[in-house]
Amino acid sequence: MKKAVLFLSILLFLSSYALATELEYFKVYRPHDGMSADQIMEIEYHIKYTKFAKDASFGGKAYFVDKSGFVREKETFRKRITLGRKSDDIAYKDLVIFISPQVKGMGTLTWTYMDAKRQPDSWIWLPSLKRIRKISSANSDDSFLGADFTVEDILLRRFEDETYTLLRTENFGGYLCEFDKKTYYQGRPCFVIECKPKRSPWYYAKRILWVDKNTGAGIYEEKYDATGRKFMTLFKNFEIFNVDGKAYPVQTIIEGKDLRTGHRTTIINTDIKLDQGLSEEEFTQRTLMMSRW
Amino acid sequence: MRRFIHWFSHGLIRYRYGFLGVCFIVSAFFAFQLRHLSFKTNLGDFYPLKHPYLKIQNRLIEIFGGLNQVYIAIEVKEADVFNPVTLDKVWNITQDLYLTEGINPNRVVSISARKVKHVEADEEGFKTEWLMHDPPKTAEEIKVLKQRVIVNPMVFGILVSKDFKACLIQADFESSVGVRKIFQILQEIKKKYEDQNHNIYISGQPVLQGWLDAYLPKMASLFILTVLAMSLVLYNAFKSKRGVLLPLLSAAMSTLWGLGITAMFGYKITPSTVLAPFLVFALGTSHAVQYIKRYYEYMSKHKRDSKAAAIKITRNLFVPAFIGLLTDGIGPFTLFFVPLGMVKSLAVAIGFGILSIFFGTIILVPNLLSFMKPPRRLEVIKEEKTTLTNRILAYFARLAVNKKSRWTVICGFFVLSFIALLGMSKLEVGDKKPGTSLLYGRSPYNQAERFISEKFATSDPYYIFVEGKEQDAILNNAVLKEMDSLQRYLEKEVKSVGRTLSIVEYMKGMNMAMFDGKRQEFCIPDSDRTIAEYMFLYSLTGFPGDFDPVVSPNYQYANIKVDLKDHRAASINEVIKRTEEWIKNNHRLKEVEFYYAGGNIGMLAAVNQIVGEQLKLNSLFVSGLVFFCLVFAYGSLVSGWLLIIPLVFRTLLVFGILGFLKVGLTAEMIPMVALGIGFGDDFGIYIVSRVKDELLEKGGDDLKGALVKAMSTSGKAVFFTGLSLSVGIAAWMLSPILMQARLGALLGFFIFFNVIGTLIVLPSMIMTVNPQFLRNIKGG
Repeated sequence: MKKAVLFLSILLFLSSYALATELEYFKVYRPHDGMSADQIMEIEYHIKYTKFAKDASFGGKAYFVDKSGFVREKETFRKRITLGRKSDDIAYKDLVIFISPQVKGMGTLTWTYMDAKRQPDSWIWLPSLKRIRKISSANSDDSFLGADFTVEDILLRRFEDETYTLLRTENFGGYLCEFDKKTYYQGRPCFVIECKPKRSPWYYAKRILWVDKNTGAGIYEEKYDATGRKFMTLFKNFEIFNVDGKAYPVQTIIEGKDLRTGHRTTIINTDIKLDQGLSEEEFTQRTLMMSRW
Repeated sequence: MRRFIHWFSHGLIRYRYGFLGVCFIVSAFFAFQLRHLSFKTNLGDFYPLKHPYLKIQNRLIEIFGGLNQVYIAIEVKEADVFNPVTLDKVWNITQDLYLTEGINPNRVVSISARKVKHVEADEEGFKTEWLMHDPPKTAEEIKVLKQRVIVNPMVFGILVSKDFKACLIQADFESSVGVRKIFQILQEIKKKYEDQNHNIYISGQPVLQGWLDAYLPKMASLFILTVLAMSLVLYNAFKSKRGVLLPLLSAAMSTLWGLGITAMFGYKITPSTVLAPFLVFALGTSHAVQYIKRYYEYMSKHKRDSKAAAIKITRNLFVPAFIGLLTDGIGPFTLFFVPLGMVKSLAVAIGFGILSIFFGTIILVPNLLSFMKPPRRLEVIKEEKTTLTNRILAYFARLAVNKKSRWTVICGFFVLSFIALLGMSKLEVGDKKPGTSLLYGRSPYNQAERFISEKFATSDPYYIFVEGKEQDAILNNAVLKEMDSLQRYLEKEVKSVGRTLSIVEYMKGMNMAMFDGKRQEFCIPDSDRTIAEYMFLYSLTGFPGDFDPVVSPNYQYANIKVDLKDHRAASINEVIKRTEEWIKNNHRLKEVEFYYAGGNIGMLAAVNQIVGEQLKLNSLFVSGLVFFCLVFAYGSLVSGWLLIIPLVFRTLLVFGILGFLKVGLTAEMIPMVALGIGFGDDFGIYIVSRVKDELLEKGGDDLKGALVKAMSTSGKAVFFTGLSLSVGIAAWMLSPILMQARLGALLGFFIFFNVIGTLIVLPSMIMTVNPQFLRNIKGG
């Protein structure tokens, strides 16, 4: 009997693992009651990195607000092509062009690989010098484009980096966005998941993440340090985009607050376009250098 | 006036129960007020906050932060810091700081801080990574780290000492975090990471404030010691219980009242105001001594009636005590106009105390004496017995009586004053030793400051504020070139400048990285657009606020940090003069303005300027007011000159001695001079008043006789008055706070010097001048 239980347990574990690691690119997944924390999180990552869409492009405006209320802005145009290609290990390619007046045309190109251990490759283009330089990818715990959130919050954190525990399901209390003063997701049914980094010590000891039951998107998280103190919150608003009969949940607002410094970053994504048939040719060093803004 | 004194002295004894009751009720009220008293050090009190340099410093803090900046240095005793244990400590302390509530994570700087990067450039591009993301474990990893440290000019010598014996960690706490909390957090870090092979040194303004706060309560035990020392002086003077207890009781009441009023007006006990109770106690005792002495004198000659004695001594001593207290009050009054918080609050606390002494001495002492049984005959005889003091005083009187010797005394005094002028020419404003002048060199704080200053040259920063007319002003090639030019000029022209740092270095470094790491590309890019792109690139790689200490987020303001090797007045004056010179001759751009002097050096320069100006101004102000009071009280111009000239010369002598001893003039010299002149006059007043009384009583012209009598009676009281006052003040020398100890030593010495000076010189001057006002019955 004991052996049978053990066998079933292993089978269950393997099946959940299989689900967790076998989400296919270009498909849309939705969570449901009864799923394990790992299964829910696999879907959350799938949505976070828009693995459901072949490509995406959007304009972005970032607002950096310090505690005195001083606001700094950065405006970008971003596009991504999702490849999920095992042959050359490329997961997706990102092109970011900065269009703020003083640095107009400055851009970065990043290739991210399927192999979680492989560091992405990045290049930067400085139009005033007409020079392209390869730059090292930032550390996971570095700032993302000078914002309050880290690189891994937006780009690098992978499913394998943490362990997950489903704490409860509940209706989300709502988030008052400081940028537009609107309350989002009030009363939305959510899975509440505790995420603990495998790496220790790390800059956070755990995250508590609220995952929207309807879409599987991680809408709000709180980060806690080793002393148990909450030091950061990160909110993401998702809107559903219908493309060829598929409903894609896409981030339209990201707002991160550093509770230690009182600084806040809000990114607003606009002009979102999905599956428009972007070519991989648009994600090369040559195209980065040729960008005209 | 005489009618008022007659009415007052009789009323005081007739309604003695009422007066005593009022004293008791008011004392109880002020004792109740003491519940509001608390200890709090505010370092702002030590600086002239309205000085232009302090205004620049405040703007720098407002824009670039750094109000609560602290430095933690880890010293390894054996081998160097490149070993797993030491690097582990650096890493752990940095992490602990990141986790500390109230820390600004953007301002944590160490070799393992997230904003300290290693950059490697080649033909393809450049690689940026944390200098020490995790503590290295293997010998190979440590070797790589060491190489990276050595080649990084922003780290080598700044975060790792050039002899590899120490690492530095900088942190800045939010302004909302209390100083005591910061001090406690840092002391815990020190305790946690210090071991047999590692010393931890902690410095910074909050740490200094924390130490001062920690030392303040220790002053209570010093107060007890003061009381004991003064009791001994009093016992030696009177050899009786009432001779000891009455002055102490009256001084205690004055001190209580003074403290009560201070508390009632919301003042805190600070390193300067904590001195006020000592001073008030000593001053109160010294005035009471005159009353007790006169009481015994009366009892030795008249029918021994306490009430009559109380009336008589009130009548005789009201004027000198009143004038004495008035001139005592002049010091604190003038100090109130000195633009230094520490001096101002000390002035207020002493002012309240002096007001209280009036009640403690003039009302309480005669009041209590009237209740007491007349002293036994033996007690009076003991007090009036000829002692060594009497013999010495008699000798001083003889010097004055003899024409030849009194001229010798006066000439000797003038010669000494001339020599003192030579000493004064050697005086230098400011403190010369490393660390803060508030604490002893051996104090843990100054040891830390000295260590950090020696290893990292960061203790004495001088900041130049670069203010743009509009935002993005700093993203301009011409502006950066002007900043660069000023930096190079100061590095070349001022010997005490160690190095300079500004956004210029960051721009040059980025340019070098962009051009394959070639050394010749360590320069400011020609195009404003490239500068903007570099700045943008920096903003992309760091968290918000990472560059705030160097440039404001809207690129309108920047600063130049100049590290000085010492904070001697000459070095400070030189660097400020050269900055002024450069701005005048080379600054041409309209887009920005350069303002100086910020940082520790600017603050010290402001203090030095204030000390230099105020010492002269305040000395003249106090002397003038004392002179005016004397003229008014005695109704004679000669009385003013007679008492003020020796006092001025004695002040010159003290400064001459300081000059020969090469003691730097610091802020506490201002109260030392003001109080010294104010208090120093008391002694002369009591002697002159006694001579006048003797002449009036005897109704004759026997100035010699009156002088000899005054010297053997009031002269003795003056000696013990001065001694008890000096002892009370000199007790501060035992304070763990050097500023207090120095003030105690100087003021104690100055007052005792005044006593001796008065007893030797004043009689000779009286005999030489033979002033008419001494025989004038209308005058005080």
